[in-house]
Amino acid sequence: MISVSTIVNGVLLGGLYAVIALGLSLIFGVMRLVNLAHGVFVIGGGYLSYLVTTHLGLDPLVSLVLVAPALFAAGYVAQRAVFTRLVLRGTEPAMVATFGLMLLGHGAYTVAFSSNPKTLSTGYSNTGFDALGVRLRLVDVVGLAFGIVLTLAVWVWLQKTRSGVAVRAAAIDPGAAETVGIDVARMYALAAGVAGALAAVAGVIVGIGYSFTPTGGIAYLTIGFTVVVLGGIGSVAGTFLAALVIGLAQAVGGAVFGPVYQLLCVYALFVILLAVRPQGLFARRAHT
Amino acid sequence: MALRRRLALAFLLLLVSALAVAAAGCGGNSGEEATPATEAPATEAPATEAPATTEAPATTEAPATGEPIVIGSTLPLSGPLATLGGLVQEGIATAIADVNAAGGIDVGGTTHELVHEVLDNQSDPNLATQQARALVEEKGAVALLGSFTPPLSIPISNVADQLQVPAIFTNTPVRAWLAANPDGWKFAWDMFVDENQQTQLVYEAADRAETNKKVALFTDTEDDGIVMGALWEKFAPEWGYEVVYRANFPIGTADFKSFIEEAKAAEAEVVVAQMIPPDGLALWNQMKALGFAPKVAQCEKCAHFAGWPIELGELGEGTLMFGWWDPADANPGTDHMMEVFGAKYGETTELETTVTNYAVATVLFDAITRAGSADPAAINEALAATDFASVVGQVAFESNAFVIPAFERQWQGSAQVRVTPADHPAVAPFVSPLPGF
Repeated sequence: MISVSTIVNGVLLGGLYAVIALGLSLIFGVMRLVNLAHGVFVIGGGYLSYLVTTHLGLDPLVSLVLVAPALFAAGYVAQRAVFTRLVLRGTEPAMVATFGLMLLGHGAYTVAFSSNPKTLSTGYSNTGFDALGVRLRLVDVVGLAFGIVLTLAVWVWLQKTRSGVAVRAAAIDPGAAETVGIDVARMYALAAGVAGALAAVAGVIVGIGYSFTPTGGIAYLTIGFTVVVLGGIGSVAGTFLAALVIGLAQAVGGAVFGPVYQLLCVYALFVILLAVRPQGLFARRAHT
Repeated sequence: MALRRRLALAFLLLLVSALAVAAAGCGGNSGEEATPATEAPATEAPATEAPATTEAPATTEAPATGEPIVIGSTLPLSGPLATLGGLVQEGIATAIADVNAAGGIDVGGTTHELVHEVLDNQSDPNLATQQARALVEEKGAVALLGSFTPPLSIPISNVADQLQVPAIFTNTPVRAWLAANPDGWKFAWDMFVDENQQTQLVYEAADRAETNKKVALFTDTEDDGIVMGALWEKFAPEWGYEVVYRANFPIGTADFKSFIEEAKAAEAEVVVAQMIPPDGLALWNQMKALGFAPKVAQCEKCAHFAGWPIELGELGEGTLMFGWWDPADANPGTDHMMEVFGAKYGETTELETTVTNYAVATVLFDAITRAGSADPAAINEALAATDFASVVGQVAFESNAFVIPAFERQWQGSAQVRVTPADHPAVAPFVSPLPGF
């Protein structure tokens, strides 16, 4: 049965999906690269935060001060050292390389942390409150807040800053960008670094609100990929709106047809919407 | 077109990886080579022990004189069941090491060293089938020991019947296993709990608390979730309980909020869940956040996970799950088991798993000795006539199954303590309502 609670929970879930999908959308928009290792970065954010909170006693959200820069660096270095060379030869080799990185991540996490699930336990992991006559989870509200703020931040960065404009230029026409003095390889690495930092935020929220395992990133990659394609390739605003659509579809589908059908509803809607609008729901211009 | 090609390739790669995780598990080791394991892994040197008994003898006997006898195991040492597969291996390998330390197994007056050939089936039933065949046909195994859960044990049972080589399991609920072969198993044997008894335990435990007897079920769509969910629904009225809400969902579900709201609206005070640990952790956190506070809560599969109280803290306190071995029952060999595994695992599912697999191995060794032969058919015949005092009780098979009586455990601190039957001498006080909620 659809209730106010169902709608609100769908929107909140969409906020988390937006955080998960933003980094994926950024890399796809800039390099046309489907980063299959994105889920590994998300889960990596969870594991890094787990280490920081365990050893330094920091709150998981505070741990982002260390974890986000670490994954920014990881994304930047990986792009600079490996993926840019491959992207310049065509995106298929680079995509296969991200697949390899994903498998490598699964193995490394299993060796380091075992296959048992981990959570980022804090006082607010399971805190709820009443608003609008609905019982809400604090971490879900935090996830939506991050989704809104990060979407705006990425949009402002791409539209209003010198480095953001350079990244867009490198995305639209790398050759022309080079001729006007833009270091395209550096812009690609910058975009990958930002995507890594965004994945870190997603991983920490997932760890606080849910749990994570070495191979758990595949589920988040799948949902992120769905959001990006539905939103329109490279559209930051479209990514956020599509995430809300997916979150709502999951919550409403589960409420109407039962829990077992909630993801089926998501992907059925995805197929129908793409059949009607193959370019994605919100794709008017890329990188906006 | 290029974009479409890239998307198609991405979907293909995603599909491959998802299938790999679902069917075989991407995590963990992927080694498939045989792993001889003639000594106990990760345990202290076992006390020397005579074959075909679970009591530890005091002296080491003369070296084995006959040809080595090969015992085969295809185990989930990587993939989703890796953690538990390692415990199975440890139990079996310890039993074999104990026999070898005592001079080998007595077969018709000659002693033989036992050789344990172990293959990693990566939690994959197809691979388990192939490996069971290879262990018999290529490695010369005269019997197969162990695996874990019906999806792995049933394919191995099929191989055992086809090749006419005995295979013995535990950690495989007997009804699901028996139902997989309506004609009856001939060379496959199972020693574990009966689902009919197991699923009634939660009601027996819940009777120790004050509740309104309204039950919410959260079960995944795996085979055991479907079967056990139906049994919980079936037995609820017999115990005076009413199932007021049931959610079925695929494994990997992380968002339970809508379903929790429905269970809450139905005023359920008893929660019975059957799901994997990551999903269970999410459910428990969301129940707390949404103000749904059951007075009694059980989580099969998820609460067996040793990290349950660590990841949930006080929220995990009082969670129920079934158990099947209690050292307080003082079966023969209990002291030896506690000496070898007790300190390492404490009062947990890990302890039960290693001990039960040790017991299964000793049942096989008893049959080999009584058969007076390493011939698989003779061993199988001896298994049928088993009447053996093992560490899990007096074992005698009926329809190739031996039912180990189950009881209910509850997380209290870092231990899974026994809470049923209420009049058992080793039973602990019952925690309800759940303090973390």
